[in-house]
Amino acid sequence: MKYVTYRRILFSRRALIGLVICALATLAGLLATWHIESNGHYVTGMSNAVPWGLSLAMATFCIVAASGALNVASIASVFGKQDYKPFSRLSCLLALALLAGGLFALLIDLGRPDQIFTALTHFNFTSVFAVNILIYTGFFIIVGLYGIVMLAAPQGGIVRPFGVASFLWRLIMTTGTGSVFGVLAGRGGMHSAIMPPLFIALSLSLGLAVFVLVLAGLEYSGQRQARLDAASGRIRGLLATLIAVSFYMVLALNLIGIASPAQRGYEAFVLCTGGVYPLLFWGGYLALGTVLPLILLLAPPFRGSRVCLLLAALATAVGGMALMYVLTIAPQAYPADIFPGMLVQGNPLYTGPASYVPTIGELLVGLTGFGLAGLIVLLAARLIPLLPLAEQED
Amino acid sequence: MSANENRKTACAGESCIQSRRRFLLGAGATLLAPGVLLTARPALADEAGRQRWGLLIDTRKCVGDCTACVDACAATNGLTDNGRPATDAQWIRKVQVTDPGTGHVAHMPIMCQHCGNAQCVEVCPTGASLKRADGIVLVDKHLCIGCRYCVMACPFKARGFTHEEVKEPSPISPRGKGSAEGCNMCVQRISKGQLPACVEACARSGHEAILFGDLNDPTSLIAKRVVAFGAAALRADLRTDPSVRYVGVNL
Repeated sequence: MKYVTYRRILFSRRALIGLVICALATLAGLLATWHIESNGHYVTGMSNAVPWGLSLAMATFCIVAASGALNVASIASVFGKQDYKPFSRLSCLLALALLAGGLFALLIDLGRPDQIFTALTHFNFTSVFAVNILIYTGFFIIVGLYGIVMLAAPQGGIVRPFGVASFLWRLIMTTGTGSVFGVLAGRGGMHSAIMPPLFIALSLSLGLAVFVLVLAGLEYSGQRQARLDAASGRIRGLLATLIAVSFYMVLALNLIGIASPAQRGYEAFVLCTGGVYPLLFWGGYLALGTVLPLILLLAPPFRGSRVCLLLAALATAVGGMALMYVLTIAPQAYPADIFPGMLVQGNPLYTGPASYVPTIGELLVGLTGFGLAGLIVLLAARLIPLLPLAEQED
Repeated sequence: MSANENRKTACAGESCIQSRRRFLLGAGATLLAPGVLLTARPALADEAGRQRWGLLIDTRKCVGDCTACVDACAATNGLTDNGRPATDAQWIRKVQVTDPGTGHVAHMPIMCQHCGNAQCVEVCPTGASLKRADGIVLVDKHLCIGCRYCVMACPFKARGFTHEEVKEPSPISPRGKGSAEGCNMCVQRISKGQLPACVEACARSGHEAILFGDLNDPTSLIAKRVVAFGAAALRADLRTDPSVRYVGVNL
C-alpha cells in the first residue's frame, strides 16, 4: 500500500521574504483602514452611487477562491482520485486561509468595523448577508474538522464523510456568496438566478488557479518536495475544464441579459459603451483570463511546460479578478432606471453612469485579504506537516 | 374637529399650514378634555399599524428651480454641504423627467419611497434597516454596521451612506459616520404632531406639491387623491409598494 508522508516547511530566505511581503501587505491594509475609518469613506473612490468598491471586489475574490481552493481535497476525498490526495492538507488550509483573509478584508471595508459583534449577534434572516455569516462560520467548523481528521487519521475511512460534508458546504457557501450579487431586483446586472451557479463555477477555476500558484510559491521558497510537477498533467486538464465551465456560465449570464429587453441597456453598457468595464471584460476576463490560459494549457507546444501552467494559473486569477470587478462595480455605475424610457436630468445620481476610480487605500484594504491568507498559509505550514514528500511503499 | 379627523387631512385643499394649525388646535382640544398633559400633543404616528404614512407628490405643482423641500430637509436633518456632491448626504433629490414621445416635462423630488416591501429592510443583515408598523422606513444607527447592502438594494438610489463626520448634528435626526441613512419622513416631527419638513416647506413656498397623510384611511385627503388622480408609484413593476406616490407624470 502506498502512503504519503508530510513535512513542515522550513523558513528559507525566500520563505521569509514571502512572509515579510504578506505581513507588510496586511499592515498596509490596516493603515489604509485607519486612514479611511478616521476620515470617513469620502477619501475613497466610493460614493452614494457606487457604495461597493475595489476592496469589496477583492474580498469577494478571496471568498470565492476559498471555496475553490478546496477542489483538490474534494477530488481526493469525495471522488477518490488518489493523485490529488497528497495535496489535500494544503488544499484544506488554503481554503480556510483565503476565507479568513477575505472576511477580514470585508470586515475592515465596513463603515463601522467596530460593530462586528452586532453583526454576529443580530441576524435578519431575510438577508442573504446574515445567512452567509452563519454559512461562513459553518465552513470554518466543517473544513477545520476535515483538516483535523486528515491530520489525525490520514489513512482512515473517517476522512471521507468529512470530505463530503465540506464539499457540499462549500457549494452552499458559494451559492450564498453568489446570491449577494443576484437578488437585487432594482439593479440591472445584479438580478439573476444564474449568479450562484456562476460563482460556483468561478470558485472552481479561480480556487484551483490560486492553489497552483501557492503550491508553486512554496516550491520556489525551497520546499521542493511539494511535487507540483507530479500532478501537473491532471491539474492542467482540470483547470482547463473549469475555465471553460466558468466561461459557459459567464456567456449564459450575458446572453440572458441581452435576450431581456429590460437588461439590454445594462448589457450594452458592460459589453460596449461602459468605458473601463468592457475593457476589463473583453481584455481582462475574456482574453487574459480565459483564452490565454486555455491556449497555455491545451495547445500542444505548451502542454508539458511548468512555466506555462503557472502563467495560465496567474492569467486565470488576474482575469477572474477583472471579472469580479466588473460584476461588482458595473451594476452600480450603470444609472438606475427609475423612469424607464424617460429622459432624466437634474441630479447626477440619476442622469448618467457614475464615475468610480479606486484609490490606493482601497487597493491596500483589498490586498489585506491576500496578505493575511498568505501569512496564515506560511505560518501554518511551518507548524503543521502539510506538504507531501515522495510516496513510499508500505 | 377631532384629532382623528385632522389625521385624515394633514395637508388639505387650502394650505398645508392651515391644515396643520387646525390639527394642532384639534389635538389640543382632545388633550385638554381629560385635563392631563396640557402641553403635549398626541403623536400622529403610533406603532400599532393603524396608519400608513405616505406622501403624494403632485408634479404639476412642483417647480423646476425650487429647492424648498431639499433645503428644508437638509436644515432639519443636519445634512451639511461639504462641496462633495458624490458623497454629501442628500435625502431628497430633485429631477426633471421628460417624456421623449410627448415632450411632457415634469419636476419632482425623489426621496426614500418608504416601500411596503422594502428591499433595504430585506437585505440588511442586522435588522438595522427597519420598517415601522406605520410604514416609515428608517435606519437604527445602533445596529447599522455600514455594509451598504441597503444602499445597493434600493431601486431608487434613495438610501445613502454617511461618508464623513457629521459636523452639525441635528437634535432630532441622529446620524453617524459610517452608517447608512435616508429620509425618515421626519418621524420625530410627526411624533410631535408636526408635518415632515419638506411638506411644510413646499406649502410655505406656495407650491403645495407634497401632501402628507394616512394612506390606510380611505377618508383621508391623501387616500382620496391617490384614487382620484390614479397616483403612480416609481417602478411599480418591482412590486415594492412605495408609500410615496406621484401625480402628473407618466411612470
